[in-house]
Amino acid sequence: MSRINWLLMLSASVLSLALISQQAHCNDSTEQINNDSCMKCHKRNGKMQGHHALDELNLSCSSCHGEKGNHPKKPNDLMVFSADSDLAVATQNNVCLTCHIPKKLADTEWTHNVHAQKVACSACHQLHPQTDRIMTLTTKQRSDECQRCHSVQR
Amino acid sequence: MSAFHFDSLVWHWPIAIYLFLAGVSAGAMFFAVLLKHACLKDQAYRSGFVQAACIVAPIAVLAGLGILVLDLTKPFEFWKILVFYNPTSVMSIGVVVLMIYQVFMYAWIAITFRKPIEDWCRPRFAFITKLSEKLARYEASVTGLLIIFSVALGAYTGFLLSAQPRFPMLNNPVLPLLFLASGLSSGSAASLLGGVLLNGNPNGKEVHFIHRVEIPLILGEIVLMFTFFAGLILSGGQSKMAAFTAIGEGFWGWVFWFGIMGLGLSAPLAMNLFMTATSKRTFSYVAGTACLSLLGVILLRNFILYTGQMTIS
Amino acid sequence: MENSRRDFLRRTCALVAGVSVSPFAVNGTTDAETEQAIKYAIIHDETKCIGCNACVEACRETNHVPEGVTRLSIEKTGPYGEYPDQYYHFTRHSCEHCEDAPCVNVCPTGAAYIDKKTGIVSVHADKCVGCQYCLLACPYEIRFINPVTKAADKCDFCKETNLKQGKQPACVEACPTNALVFGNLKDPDSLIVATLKANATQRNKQDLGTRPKLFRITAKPGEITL
Repeated sequence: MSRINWLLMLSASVLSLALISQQAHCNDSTEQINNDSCMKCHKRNGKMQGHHALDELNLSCSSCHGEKGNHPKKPNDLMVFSADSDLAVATQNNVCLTCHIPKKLADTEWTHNVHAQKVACSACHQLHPQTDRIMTLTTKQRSDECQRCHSVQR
Repeated sequence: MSAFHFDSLVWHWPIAIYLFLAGVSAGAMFFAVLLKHACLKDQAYRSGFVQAACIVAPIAVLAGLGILVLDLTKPFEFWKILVFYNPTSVMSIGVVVLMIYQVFMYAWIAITFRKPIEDWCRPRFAFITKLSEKLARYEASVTGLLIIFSVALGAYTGFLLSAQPRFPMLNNPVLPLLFLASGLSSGSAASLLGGVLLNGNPNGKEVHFIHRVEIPLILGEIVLMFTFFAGLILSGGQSKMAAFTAIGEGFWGWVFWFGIMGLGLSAPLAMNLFMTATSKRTFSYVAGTACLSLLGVILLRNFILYTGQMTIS
Repeated sequence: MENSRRDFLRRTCALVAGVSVSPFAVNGTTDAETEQAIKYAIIHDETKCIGCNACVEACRETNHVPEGVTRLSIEKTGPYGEYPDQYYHFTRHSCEHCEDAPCVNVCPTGAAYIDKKTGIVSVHADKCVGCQYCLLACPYEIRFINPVTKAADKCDFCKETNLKQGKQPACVEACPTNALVFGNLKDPDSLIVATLKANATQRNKQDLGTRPKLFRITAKPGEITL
């Protein structure tokens, strides 16, 4: 009887230890996306960091940028997100909207509503670096951010 | 919207207590003068009720001013209110009224208690008897001006709140009259309470006299209260909204109907009528009625101050 | 006794008459007022405002307004319309520099005053004792107690800062979309007079008789309110 108890306790503690270590290992791990096959060539572009790189999200480069297709030959179906991208704003933003719900975006930040059709998400948000600059602005920097586009000659 | 915390609230309960105390002082002096001239004449200083009024009035007005000063954001600079004046400001006019009122209040008390004061001073400070003799020559003027300034002080507590365009419930011409009437009745209640505590006879002629004045005064207050809210409701717009927010459901609605109309006005009115009809005036009846009146006036001041600031125009 | 009563009545009547006439004596300055050369006002064009709060930040910096309080805020209502085609309304919340200012009328020490030369409603912080009567009286709810000076504080069109240096108020300079127009109503050639003549404008709570000098060019309503 006591031996069975002993074994039970032992197995329980081993299991919990294993779980805890797994948990710790998962925290902020970005291994998965940085071992993506794309990274074989794109190492010089730097590492993918930031929230979207987390293993829990289970994203790969192609989740956002599209399937490899003909790449690196042109034309291909890969998508580039930036102000000087050839893609229409709506096409760029629809990629983000596959996960992000407009209602939630509106609740956290009212400016999402008014820019929804006019500006690409990438105009303000940067997903590759560790921190997205737009998320950590002071009130002063924030109004400066508006003025990058909204300003009239006097 | 919580009863004591809301966005448009600027003045809190200390102001209500100050308005209450100023009203008590004005009312107590008013009734002391009435008692002396209509009832007691030269024997006024012997009456516990006049003594009580003359103790309550200065203490109340000084305590009220103390609260007002402490409520400033710069309490140590209160003297600037006494140095700089603005003729368009009700508060500034009120300060003048308060100062002059106090001068006549002390003068009248000195005249009324001339005999005991002189008896005490003659062997010690003979010159004071000369002063009081000079002062006593102006008794008629002092009395008249004291009455004018005590009425002005009572009305001022209402004008202070009504002289602004932001809150339609406060910006109401009936408010000064309502506060004057309730201030006078709180003064009479304080005198009665103090009088019986100072061993005044609860069945004495002073009590009879005050009750005779108090019954029409309470009836008048009820009429003013009705006019106040009927006027607001009939004005429509934000005034109507303010009236319904104040006396409708909720914490302040209870305070109004149960505390003010019930305990503060109806109960004292019933007790006064009962005491007049049965001639049963015992310590507990007189003291209990006075306490209810005082409670009603404290509640009224807080009720008006808080609910008045709830609805903006 | 009879004499003293008559005396008393006479004196009281004189006193009452004196006191009741004195406010008129004070109002006798209206002539000087009409000859006033400068009367500053501001226009907030709500059709141009983007709600960036640059004005608020500039005001705080220029006038050293402590955190937690503000002389100026932009109030946002909305969104109106359906996603993704939505818009907001922005209204400026700041001193309206009333011609007949309730805050000035109630101030017991005269700390709140209307500057005779410019028509700007301003505060002598030293004279203010902090009774908060002006906070109570202002129908536009724009006054606050400055936590540093403990005095009532509000927008003064940068009277002590930018205007002194010959500049426009900080909010006007900071506005990226030129939604704010500041100027002298008495100058017929000024931009503000031209703008006021060319546009339909509104002022807040005019029925209170305060005669405010913050003019609004309002945006399309966005919804029906009854």
